[in-house]
Amino acid sequence: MSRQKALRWRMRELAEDFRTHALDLDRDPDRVTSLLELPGVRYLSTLGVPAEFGGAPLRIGRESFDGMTAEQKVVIIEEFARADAGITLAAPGPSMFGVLMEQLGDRSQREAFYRRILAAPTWTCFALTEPSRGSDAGNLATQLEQDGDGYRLSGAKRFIGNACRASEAVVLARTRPGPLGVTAAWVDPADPGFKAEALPMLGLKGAQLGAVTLEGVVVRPGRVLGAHLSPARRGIWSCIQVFNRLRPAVAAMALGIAAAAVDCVRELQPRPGVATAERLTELDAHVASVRALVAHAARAVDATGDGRPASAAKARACELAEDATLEAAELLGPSARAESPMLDKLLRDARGIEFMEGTRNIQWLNLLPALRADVGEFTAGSGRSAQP
Amino acid sequence: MQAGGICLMSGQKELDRIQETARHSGLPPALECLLEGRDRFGPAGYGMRPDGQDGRSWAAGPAVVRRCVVPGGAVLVIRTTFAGGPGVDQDGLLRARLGLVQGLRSACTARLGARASAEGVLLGLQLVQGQLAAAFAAEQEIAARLGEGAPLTKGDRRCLHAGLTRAGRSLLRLYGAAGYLTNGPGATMHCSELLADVYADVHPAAGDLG
Repeated sequence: MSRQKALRWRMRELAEDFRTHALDLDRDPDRVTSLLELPGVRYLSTLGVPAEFGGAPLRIGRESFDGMTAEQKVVIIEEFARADAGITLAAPGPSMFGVLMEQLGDRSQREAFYRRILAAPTWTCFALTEPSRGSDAGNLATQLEQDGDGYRLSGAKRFIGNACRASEAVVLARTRPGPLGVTAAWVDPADPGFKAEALPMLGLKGAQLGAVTLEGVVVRPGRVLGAHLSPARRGIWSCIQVFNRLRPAVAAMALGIAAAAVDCVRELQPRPGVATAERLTELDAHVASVRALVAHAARAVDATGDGRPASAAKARACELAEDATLEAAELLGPSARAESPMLDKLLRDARGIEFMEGTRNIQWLNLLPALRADVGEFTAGSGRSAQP
Repeated sequence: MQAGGICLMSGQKELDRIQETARHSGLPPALECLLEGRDRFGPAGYGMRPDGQDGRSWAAGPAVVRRCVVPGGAVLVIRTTFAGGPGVDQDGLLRARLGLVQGLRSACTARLGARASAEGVLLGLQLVQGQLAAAFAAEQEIAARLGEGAPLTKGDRRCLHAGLTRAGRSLLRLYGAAGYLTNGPGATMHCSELLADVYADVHPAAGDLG
């Protein structure tokens, strides 16, 4: 069995009891605290902790998986999301904050962060998106102002996953105008001035996205990330690196939901007719095709940090998730959504991935530089005519 | 008038009223129009009704299987174990869904015109304009088909309902993450899709899909 297949099967085993709890969590996101002993949740709670800071790799036979590469993460996240995207997002762990910590944290910050992660199930959140500004890091309004030896944060964030549960938060804020004025501050949500309120989401309810207000929240000395780096390496540049590294996993989550929709039809129609069976086979083919793109995107990010294939993957995977869930409803016949709360949940969840880490439009715009490079190759005296 | 469990509305005026109610007042009032004062059930025994309507007494029998919050109130998904009974007017159902899409398109356009982008407002971006126009064109196509007044087959209705779902989802993507909140248009569109799921007479008879 190939290395990736072995990882996929093991992840499927780890997540197999997610389905049992999926609808309960969808009804009551706070129930996640009763799921901490599920093997899959325990695995996610330390996924992303480097070995040098105590992270224990997963061993399957003679193979070892540290979960740190995009290539591994897309397999992990697809299988977990296939079992349930809500629980996957609700699980404690380093998550996006961890990826940013690896970009910007100095050694003492990383040690402190991962010590907390390993000591107990720890929810983290990554606060970038702002009301009326979306996730445009260049237009941040949240302010990080000097206050003695430390800083204070003031502003508002919106649609922040796990904001209401987090005990460790990273907030993207501005110290001065311009792209070099963006930086990341590590704060304790229990500190005065940090308020998070759950937003009433249609789906992906496990993620418990929240609205955050920051009223003079203290940022202690040594808790500004990237202070040891040049201004050009902090802020927006680091955000772009984080998003590039995360994007394949977000695509994998959409892919998992699509696969779950196909599973749902097969469970509810174990003996489909010929036409339904043909349509399921076509859906399998679409899933396999997008899976190949997601894997390609992950390898590109690991090799060079290039996030553009992941933009294609994310856009295509989100489209597939919506199409597959809609088709599942059609294949299951009248009142399929009313009859199956799980199908209804998949339909709601599928739409939510669109808004994670940039909508389709943003992903397509991300692809333009690659297209322009193609045109340049054809027209810059190469001797070949431009493509129509 | 009833024919084989399908309720026929009295004419163009009623259909126009449903569409306009959906467009300007949203889902719960449109559903009231569609139901014409009584519980109605689709082919699989599921139905929907507005929740918490003062002064309205609904039949006590059907079980409530789900409650969905929407702007302007909430709707219930209900189920009956009794076979037969009236469904909803299929043309009325399509008109209601079309009205909801039209309402969303207006709200979406207004929102995009007010949201800032790097170069002005989001509505000024060609990508956004194109997608909005595409959804509008799809809406017009459906309106034109329904406006013909010609009898529709199950296949026709399936195509139109699918088109309404796609148009609604295209608009919601443009609406942004705010369109994914239960107190926003996303909830309305989700319930619009549920309406079709529950009431639309579009599926082949059992066994036909093979």
